[in-house]
Amino acid sequence: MSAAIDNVPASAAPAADTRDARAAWALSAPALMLFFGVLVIPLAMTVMLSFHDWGQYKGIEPVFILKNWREIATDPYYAEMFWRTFRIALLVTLITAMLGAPEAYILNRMSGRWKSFFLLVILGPLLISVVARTLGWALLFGGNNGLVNKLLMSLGLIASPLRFMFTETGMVVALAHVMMPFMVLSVWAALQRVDPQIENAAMSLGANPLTIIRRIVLPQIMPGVLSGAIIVFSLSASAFATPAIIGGRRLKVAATLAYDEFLNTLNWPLGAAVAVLLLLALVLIVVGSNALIERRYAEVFR
Amino acid sequence: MRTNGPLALLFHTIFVVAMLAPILVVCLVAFTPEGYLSMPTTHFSLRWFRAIANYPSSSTPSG
Repeated sequence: MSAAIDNVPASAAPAADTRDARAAWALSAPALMLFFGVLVIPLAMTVMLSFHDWGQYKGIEPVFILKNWREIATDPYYAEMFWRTFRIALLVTLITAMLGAPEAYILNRMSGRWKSFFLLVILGPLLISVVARTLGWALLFGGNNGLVNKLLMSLGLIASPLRFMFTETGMVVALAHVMMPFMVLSVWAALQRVDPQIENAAMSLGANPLTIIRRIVLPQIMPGVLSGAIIVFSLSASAFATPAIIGGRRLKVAATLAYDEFLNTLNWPLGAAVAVLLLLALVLIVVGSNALIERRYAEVFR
Repeated sequence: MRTNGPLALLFHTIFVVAMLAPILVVCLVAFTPEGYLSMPTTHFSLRWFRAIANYPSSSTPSG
């Protein structure tokens, strides 16, 4: 079979190319069918569902109306909820970048054994349920005698206990903890490609440590920080478990609101509209910032 | 330039403690002898682990 292909004259090459292309499609067909069946069809059905009508007594009616979309566009409750979602995601992204990037840098400068030990300590929480970690923060801040509140008050940093449950502060702190490993991992990967001798070269040319970090290290690890930021932002904007535990019914984000519409109000079309809008907003933000980053840091990606 | 200064090590210590604290707290609270959410202050107890062992499974009717 292969000998026959090897012996064909040069004029038959296009035919072999089309055969190769057909084989590629045939070989990827099972994966494509799975992708289509479990992702594209459910998503398309969710989009369709968001245009259907719903009533307390009549249930879901398969008609095409813009009722749900108009409700989301006109009721300020939804605008506030979406702003809250993206405000929390943005704050979480900033916090993980400000703390995770320096930590990855410090980690990278440690000696071999300590490096792998602390990398394991920081990435280890990924193996533990998000629910357990969020409950841990709720316990640390919980009530007026939570450990962290006691510590901060004894240090004189705060006068009265910080309110944690049912507040945005609580959600941001717990989500930042949940997302931190992703940021450290991403910056860590970028740091592995930095030549350590460049820092020595900068130092021998008389740069002080701050200048080295600002002008030598930071520009090289910035793509890592930004790709980590995209991961953290999209994961925390669509996070469910942490906002559900900390925010409860009072402080809803997009994911918990969609859940409540689906399973408590049973207004599936409205829940679908919220979910589709969250998906669209996230895709726009992620694709847009990705394009900006690739243009800005083109020379690093090359 | 390959070693961390004291400030960097302080930052690192606080970072690692903050990463581990919530997980340790959950583990400690599991051993509380009280009937409500609390840290074990006087002694450790396995009552909540016994509660899991004695919990009727969902496949058999309770009662």
